[in-house]
Amino acid sequence: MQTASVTFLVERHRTAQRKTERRMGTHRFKIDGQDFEVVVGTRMGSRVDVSVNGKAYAVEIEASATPAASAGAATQATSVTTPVAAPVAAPLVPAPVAPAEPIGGGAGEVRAPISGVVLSLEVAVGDQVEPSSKVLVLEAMKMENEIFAAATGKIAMIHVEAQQEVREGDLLVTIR
Amino acid sequence: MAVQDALDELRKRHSEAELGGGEARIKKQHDAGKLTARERIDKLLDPGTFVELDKFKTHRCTDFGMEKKKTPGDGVITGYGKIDGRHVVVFSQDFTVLGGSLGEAFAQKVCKVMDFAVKQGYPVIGLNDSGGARIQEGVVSLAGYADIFLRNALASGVVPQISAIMGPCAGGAVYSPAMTDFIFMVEKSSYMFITGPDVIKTVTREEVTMETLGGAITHNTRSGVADLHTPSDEECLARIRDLLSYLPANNTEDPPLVAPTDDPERRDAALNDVVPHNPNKPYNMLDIIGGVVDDGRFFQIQPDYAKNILTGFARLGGRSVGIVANQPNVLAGALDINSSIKAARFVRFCDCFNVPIVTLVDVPGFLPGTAQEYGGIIKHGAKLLYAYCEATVPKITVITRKAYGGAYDVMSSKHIRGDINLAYPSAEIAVMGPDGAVSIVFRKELKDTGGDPDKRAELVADYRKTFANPYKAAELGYIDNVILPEDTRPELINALDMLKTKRDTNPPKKHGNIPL
Repeated sequence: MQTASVTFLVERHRTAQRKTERRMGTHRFKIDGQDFEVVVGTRMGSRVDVSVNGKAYAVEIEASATPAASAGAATQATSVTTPVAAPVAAPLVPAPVAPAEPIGGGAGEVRAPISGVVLSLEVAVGDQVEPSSKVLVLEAMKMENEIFAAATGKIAMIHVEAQQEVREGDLLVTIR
Repeated sequence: MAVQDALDELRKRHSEAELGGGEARIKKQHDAGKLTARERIDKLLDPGTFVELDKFKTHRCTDFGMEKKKTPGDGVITGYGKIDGRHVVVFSQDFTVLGGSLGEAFAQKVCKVMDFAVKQGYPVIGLNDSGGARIQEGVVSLAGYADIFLRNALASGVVPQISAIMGPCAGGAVYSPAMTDFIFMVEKSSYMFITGPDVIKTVTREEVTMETLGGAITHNTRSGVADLHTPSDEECLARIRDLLSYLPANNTEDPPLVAPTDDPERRDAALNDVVPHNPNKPYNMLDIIGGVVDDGRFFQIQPDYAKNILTGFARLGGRSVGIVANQPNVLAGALDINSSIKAARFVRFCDCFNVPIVTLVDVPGFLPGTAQEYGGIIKHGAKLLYAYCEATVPKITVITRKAYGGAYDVMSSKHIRGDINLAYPSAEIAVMGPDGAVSIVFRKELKDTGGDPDKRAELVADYRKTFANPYKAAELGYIDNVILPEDTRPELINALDMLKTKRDTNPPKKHGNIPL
């Protein structure tokens, strides 16, 4: 199961046709001529299990005020970035917002402000950090860029390793 | 007793006017953590210097029973006063009167003081706290806004215009602050947006709170619309006073000279160690700025936006300067869309008001990537280049480390009328860094050796020795001098003193066409 954030807005897409079978929580879409069958499971808090053409995803809804009723969480657009053209092959990831303001990530998420190579990790899982703690060094533009936690908490997960290439916006470290 | 009656009548009207929307609404304002419009003026100006105009002016609307809802002053307090003994013009919107909404009389009051400001050459300070257009007055309110907008545009570059957002500022009302020189916002109690969360929810189905959409932090970190945020009304007003101390009253004057409290000959040996020997290691440019300017005081503009470039005001030898500096510990100090725009606007403001510009350069180039290219880095980078080219104020540049490629040209180089261009011994002024250059210049040789890493390292070291230094540029006179970092302060102060009589012009034209 891959965890991802839903950011597509089906209503807005020009060629989307939706036939909703509300009773079963199954929705059928046609986007750009391609058929999608989406089954939406029960919503638990901000998470809901969704399957798209048989492939299972764990979906996190961003900041929705009211719990999803019969319409199903998948069709509720909570933040619009770009329409997802083909959600089948890859996990749904939010497109980076252009122009590029360094993306700090949500609270507890440390994201790469610039594309580069992880030079060194300065923390380990379980370490207590505060906003000024250095978490890793990213080599980019021939410089050793120090990346800071920008949050208080414990290192929950480190998503990268030394020598790994990262793109701007990639999740580096999660802090809880 | 007719004379006494008349005097009493006047006193009564004054008291009534000073209550604005009444005690209950004043209390509500205080409970929300906000000062009243009058209290803000009292805190902003030197004590006892405020002269109010149009205190008794009211609207003349008779629709919707408005003739029964007249408040003297019509929801805005306007007039003139002094800050640090220098005249300014101020308007302060009164949220307790009809929600601070703007109508005909309100707008006329603001226009009157703005006209004074332009004719007398005094800065305009606008304290915004308004629900927007007064719907009852209909299109007359829109006309009122437009009258103000026209004056903002015409006053732009004539006198400094500073806006404080101290409450709501929504819809068309935002365009007045948007055209002013600086926008300060008070955290949690202020917000600016064109369309609010309710309308957005209906049209695009997005759900967002007012604070996230247009609060002080959003506009100071994400949109780049605002220049500063403060935790309270009082702090906001204090910062406005501080900012004005660096600026002249109008474009025909020089910035005020203060008696220097810091030795102009001070040489700080610690500055020699700020730039690391290893060109890959970052450092904090603020350490250099802090060690050089008077008393280490640097009034940053947009400190939380586009942090890869620093902009702000400081003094050198008692003279105000505008400082633009790359920040090597953010995005490697590279120039990108947001930093180009941030710095371009700042350079143009300094040029409007005769503030000399000191540029500290450590830039490896422009930030690569499709996000930058599709976002128009070509056009936005050109803004900064244009701004520097156009500026005729004294321009002093110090290259602390890297100055590569087009970014070397852009950052106030000699060729675009930099007056004094200096460099540290650690400066690397070249078309590109050694690795990139060797790959291109020695492509054939490297291919012939089959990608031998030792040969490559040798070529890179050679290139670094020959080109990654300030001396090639110095030999060409593109750099006037190579200086020790510890001498930066006296060098800058000497240069500024020499340049204080600079006069330079641009070809006559209606105005240029800066890429927007």
